[in-house]
Amino acid sequence: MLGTAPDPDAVVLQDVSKSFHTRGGPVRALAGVDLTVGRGKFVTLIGPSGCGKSTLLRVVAGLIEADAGEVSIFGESARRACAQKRVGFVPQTPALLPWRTVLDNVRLPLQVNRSASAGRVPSRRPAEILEAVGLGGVLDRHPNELSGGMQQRVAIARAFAFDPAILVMDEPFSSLDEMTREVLRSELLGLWQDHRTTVLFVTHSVAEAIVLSDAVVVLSGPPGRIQAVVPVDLPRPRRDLVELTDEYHALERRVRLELRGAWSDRDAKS
Amino acid sequence: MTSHRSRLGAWLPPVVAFALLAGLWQLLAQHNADFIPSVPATMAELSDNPALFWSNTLVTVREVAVGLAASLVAAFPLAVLMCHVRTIERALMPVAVVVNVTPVVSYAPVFVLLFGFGSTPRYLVTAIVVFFPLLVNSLAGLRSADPEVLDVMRTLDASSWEVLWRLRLPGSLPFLLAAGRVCLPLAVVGAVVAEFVASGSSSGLGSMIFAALETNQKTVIYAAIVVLVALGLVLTALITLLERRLLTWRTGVDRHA
Repeated sequence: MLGTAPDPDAVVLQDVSKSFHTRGGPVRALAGVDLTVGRGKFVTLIGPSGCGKSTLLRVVAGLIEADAGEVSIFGESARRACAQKRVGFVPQTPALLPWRTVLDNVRLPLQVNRSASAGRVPSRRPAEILEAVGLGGVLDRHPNELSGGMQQRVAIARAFAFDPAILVMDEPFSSLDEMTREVLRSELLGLWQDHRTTVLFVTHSVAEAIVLSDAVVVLSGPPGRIQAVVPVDLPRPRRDLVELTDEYHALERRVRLELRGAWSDRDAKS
Repeated sequence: MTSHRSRLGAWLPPVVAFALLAGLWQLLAQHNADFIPSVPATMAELSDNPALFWSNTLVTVREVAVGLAASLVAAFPLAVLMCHVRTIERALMPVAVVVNVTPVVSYAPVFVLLFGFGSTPRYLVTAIVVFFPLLVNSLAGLRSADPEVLDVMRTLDASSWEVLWRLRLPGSLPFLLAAGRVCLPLAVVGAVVAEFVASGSSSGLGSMIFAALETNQKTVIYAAIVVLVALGLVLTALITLLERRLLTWRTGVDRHA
């Protein structure tokens, strides 16, 4: 529509808008969002509550359709990318099947829509991925025997199990305590380095955004629009306690100032 | 040691309560000998004619089993349809509600007129009595799928068949077993009611009571009631057993115990 050929090597959103119809009339959730995420990049969305982060994420995950604009997942529409099983979704809760064992939960993506992934061999077997996140000893346990942090590890392992081209994560650590969050962050980074998946990650935590990402996208809203994109050039692999470096502090300052801007935008409008 | 004690603590109160009830029965019987048979007389009736009670029990059990199975075979697929096609639910749920609020006893004789005094009207009445709770619970079970798991399935582009098979069906199992806890005793009620209405010459514990009423065989009536109570308890225990076997994932601790 805009005349540019879709980039086969990036996730590209062009002028994406979305409104919801509510009892009080239409509510604009996204207003003209432009975003490009290069293959293999880890990009975080951060912004005030209700700014449309989750909506944006769900548009990329093919769960809702944009009213206007273009969404291209490595050259395909979001729905087609899903049909080809190239999109992994990690929701806020672990969302495991309670009657399945840990291992069988991670196998789930390999068992559905098999024709889409016919001929593709995942780089690692489910048991190996679980091993990598420290769950090798609980493969045959059921989710309700595990702590919240362990359940979320299973959910992340499940998302990596079918080697999706892009992983879309909606505040997956939000219900965990700070210590567990930090451990899961570094495990997620470990998996990401091994699999080289493109990640779009929503969080409320500035620290989490900076420690994980190649770029932090600050959203303002509603309606959601991009306030700023802050590139994070901290060296990888990120060391423990990278939060104590001056470079990190400079980035945190920048992100926080942008977030303040996003908030005041919102206050000015309401 | 503590487990021994807590087990006793769990068993003793109900045992005492039932013993008191039996004592009350015996007391009432002694003062109303013309209307209520004594506990020993009732038990003697059972032990004197075990074959008679056994064969009639089997008849009632068959009615319960066939009625319940037929009802489930109709209700569950209908719930699946309702779950997937809203229009079907909008059209048929009111019909199901009307059937549910119509007293089955009021139209059971119609079935006798239509199908005679055989087993068919009994199966039908039993099936109808349990149909609504089976339908509503099946639908609730199928709908209980976690929306976030549904999101995960959608991003995988899982077919609705795959969602049904891998998510909705296993998820509805606890609801079906809970429905069973209600429906098994309810099916016994349905079968006995049907036997009253369509008593004729057929057998069954309900028919037995009906016939004994006419010939004033008090001990037979009470003995048949005792058997019905035992039947209800066995069926309830069966559901508990099924829950323990099929829903081990619910309480991970139980599995190792």
